[in-house]
Amino acid sequence: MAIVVNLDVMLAKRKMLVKELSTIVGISVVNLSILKQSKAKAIRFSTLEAICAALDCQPGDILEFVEDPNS
Amino acid sequence: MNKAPLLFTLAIFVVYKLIRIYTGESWLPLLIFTIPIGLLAFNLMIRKSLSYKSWFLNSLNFFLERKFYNQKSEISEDLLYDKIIEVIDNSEFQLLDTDKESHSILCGTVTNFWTWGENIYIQIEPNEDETVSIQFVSTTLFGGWSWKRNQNNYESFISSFEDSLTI
Repeated sequence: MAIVVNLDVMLAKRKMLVKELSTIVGISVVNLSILKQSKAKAIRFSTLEAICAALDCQPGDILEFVEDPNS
Repeated sequence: MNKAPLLFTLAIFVVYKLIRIYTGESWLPLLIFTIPIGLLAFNLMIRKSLSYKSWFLNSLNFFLERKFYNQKSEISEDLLYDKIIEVIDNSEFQLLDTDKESHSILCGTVTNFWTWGENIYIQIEPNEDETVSIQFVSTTLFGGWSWKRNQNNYESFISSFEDSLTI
């Protein structure tokens, strides 16, 4: 996986639950869980903006590029 | 192509009239048509429950057309189950029954002037390679030919599912 989603790390840093974030950003828990597990196909700028605003962080805190050893 | 149920009904009426004219009996054509009409009524009655899945998917039930499709996913079983229910709620399909324990979902298309609708059975099962397979079966409620509606249901579902993965 080249792009890793560090949403769980940021949630832990802010001591926030997925359910709480879901209520704030208006995205379902299911979708946030899929995003958290890096299984989403793409992320909208509007989603990223809402998450960054809720967690008071930068997009780089949530998304990270990790070189794939297989490629 | 979507006019099949209407044409079928008209064809039944014409055949009924022909048999009645040639035999001079009214009970014989009525008896013949009681079987398919009874079957349709029975299928419509039991369509909303997962308990009758084996009836609709049984290959001996030659009155129905079924199409089987398989799709792989890397999302975990429980999460995928919730995700598929969410996708169905936001799509043209109607959620009819669910079973969280066996990860089975039943949804359907609505009955309208052209079709009796189709039942869609979705089964989520884990694979050995840590992926999860989604078995999708679309079946007619009456008729051995779906006029590609089974295939269209699958394409519509997959399209909705893929779109929903953009968060």
